[in-house]
Amino acid sequence: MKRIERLALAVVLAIVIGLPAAVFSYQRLYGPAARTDAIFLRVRTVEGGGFDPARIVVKRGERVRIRILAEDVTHGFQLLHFGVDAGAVKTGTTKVVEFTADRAGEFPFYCSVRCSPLHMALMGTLVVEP
Amino acid sequence: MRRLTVIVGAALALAGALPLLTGLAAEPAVGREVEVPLLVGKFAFSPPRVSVAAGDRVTFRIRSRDVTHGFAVEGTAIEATVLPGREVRVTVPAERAGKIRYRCSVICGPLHPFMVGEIVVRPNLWPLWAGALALGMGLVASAGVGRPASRIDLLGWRPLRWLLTRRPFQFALIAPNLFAFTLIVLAGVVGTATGAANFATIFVWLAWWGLLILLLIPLGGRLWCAMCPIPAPGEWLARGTLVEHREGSVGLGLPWPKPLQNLWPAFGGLFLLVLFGLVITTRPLVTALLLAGFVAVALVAHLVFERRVFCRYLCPVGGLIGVYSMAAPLELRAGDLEVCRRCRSKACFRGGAAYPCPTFQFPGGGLSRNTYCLLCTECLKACPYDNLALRLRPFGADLHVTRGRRADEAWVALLLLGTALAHSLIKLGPWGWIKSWANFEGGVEFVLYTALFSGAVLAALPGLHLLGAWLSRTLAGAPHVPLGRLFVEHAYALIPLSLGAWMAFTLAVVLPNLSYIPRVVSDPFGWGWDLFGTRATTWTWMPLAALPWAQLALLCVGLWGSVSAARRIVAQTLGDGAAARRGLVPLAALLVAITWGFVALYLG
Repeated sequence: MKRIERLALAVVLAIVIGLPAAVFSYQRLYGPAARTDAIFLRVRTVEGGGFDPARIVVKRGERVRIRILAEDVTHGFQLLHFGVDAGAVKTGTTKVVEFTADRAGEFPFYCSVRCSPLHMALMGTLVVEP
Repeated sequence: MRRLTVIVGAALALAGALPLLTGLAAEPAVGREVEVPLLVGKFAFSPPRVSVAAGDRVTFRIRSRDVTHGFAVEGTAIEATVLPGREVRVTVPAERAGKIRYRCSVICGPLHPFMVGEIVVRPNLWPLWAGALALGMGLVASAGVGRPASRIDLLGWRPLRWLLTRRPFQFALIAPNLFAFTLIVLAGVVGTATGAANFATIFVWLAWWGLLILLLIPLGGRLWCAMCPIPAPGEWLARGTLVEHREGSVGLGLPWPKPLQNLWPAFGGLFLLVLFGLVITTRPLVTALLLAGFVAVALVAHLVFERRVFCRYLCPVGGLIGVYSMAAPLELRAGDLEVCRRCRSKACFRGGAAYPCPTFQFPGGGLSRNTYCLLCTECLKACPYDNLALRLRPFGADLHVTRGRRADEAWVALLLLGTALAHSLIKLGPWGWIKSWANFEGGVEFVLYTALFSGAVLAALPGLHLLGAWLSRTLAGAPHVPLGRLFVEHAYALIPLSLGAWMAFTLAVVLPNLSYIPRVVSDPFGWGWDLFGTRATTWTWMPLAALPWAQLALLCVGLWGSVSAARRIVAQTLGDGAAARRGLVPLAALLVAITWGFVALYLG
């Protein structure tokens, strides 16, 4: 095989195999879920999958930061037991909320901006371990 | 007679253009305060159109009936977010007569980019004056002013000839597009289902489509086909090489069935594409599967059949580009036909030092129009006499070529014109019901929509065109000319206008939604990435006030091209002289009426 053929083949393989590999590696290593400064919470309508993760576990006394991404339509985030209300998070944008988990137990969090007919069912749980 | 037509036409065009231009300088009047309750829901505003007088101040009391929406007036800084359960008041001053368009500015679902509403500010004289302008331009064009321009061979420039005759040239064109293509399919399959936040939908239907319609086709004809990655995997496999020329083929190399050696397969595919257009252009997964499906079909076609039958007969986009490329100012042709006649090897057609023409064209004889030339430059590499020319030429040159006019091409031209009108209504119009019908939201509605769409595109417009052809024949007093022949040949006159209409439509889709491009470049999958720091771009395109002018200009240029082509075509079908002049009247009137229809829809 001539040099130019080998080069072209390398380019094609780099695109067809390398590009997806690069995308998934980047998501794994540097994606928002991999960042350690905050817990990443992806919000979609109940029909589209709901909160991801729907269960967040933290330690008591911990300073908790949650980065909220509204993926499909505008959502909200309320964790009333800790006085947290992010307000509206517009589609495709993120907001960060911060609070201290100063008591143990299981606490529900909700979407606070109507997002679908099943909006009232869009909820998740914050578990604060003692 | 001819002078008179030019003078009357020019006077009419001026009479139309002047009031439009003086409207720019008019002082804003002072009028009433108008209050309008506005209900927003997926994916329309209700009421969709509000009519007020110039000088009025319109205050919308906006409520959402479902999720969070936005309200942004195109070309201004007026913007508001409409959260469910809360009323928002927004005041829009209606200073000048014309049409004010507003749109949803918070992504609310798949059809969000097409969620628009209108304020018609009376007295809106755009349709009236623009109609006069169109009529005047049609008259001047029908008189046939202007001199024939000459052609310039770009290959006279040595560096270009050197570049185009290098074997890796086409691969170098395809590789970057293969990169974008891979990212598109990946994003469509694993990325967010929100179309406006996904690289697949935004890059295919905003960036690629915008570039194709606004730049590549009008200036380069089938230039896109030279760099399209879709047939590449199949071709590479069938040839057993990526760059170099190699004898023999891995594929079976069967001939394509004779009854399908036409554009009807592409016509069918194109019809399905435009029928499901609203679903396809707003769903990333559908977009990705569609493109991957194209690659699969092309792969099978390459392995089973000879050459590139996919591009020649099957590709729906190829059908579209092929028909429009006849209007483009670029052509690849044989230099000196005498050299081709004496040439024994015919390497460009049969193969030799390079591959034979993938679409079965012979530059020395059959290649007299752009329609099926992919600009792949194989013939340049094959010709032992360097006897090929890549020429700049006048716009619309192929429309005058009588040889090769066919019913399948004529029907593609008719389909494209009808679709430009239908998609303008569906996507740019403020009517929510037609959007939900076209969006597959109910079975019955979709059946009704299919019937309506097919009726308009396959029956009403062709019927009107047939009536025009019949009137042309009757007025010209030439009953011996077959009506079918006039129907086919006169359809080529529609091509420039329909391209102009697609450009006007595309401009109105692309410009207001341009800011999605930097957003998906930074976050192609909607996963919350920010590669280049542009994921939060929200700028709105301020020169949007120029949009109506640009749309009007594109339609007028299209009309000019169409009427000029019609003049030449009618002279070919009905004979020169007074008969042809009478025969031109119905066709030119139809073209002016269609132009006026677009103007009324966009600006009225």
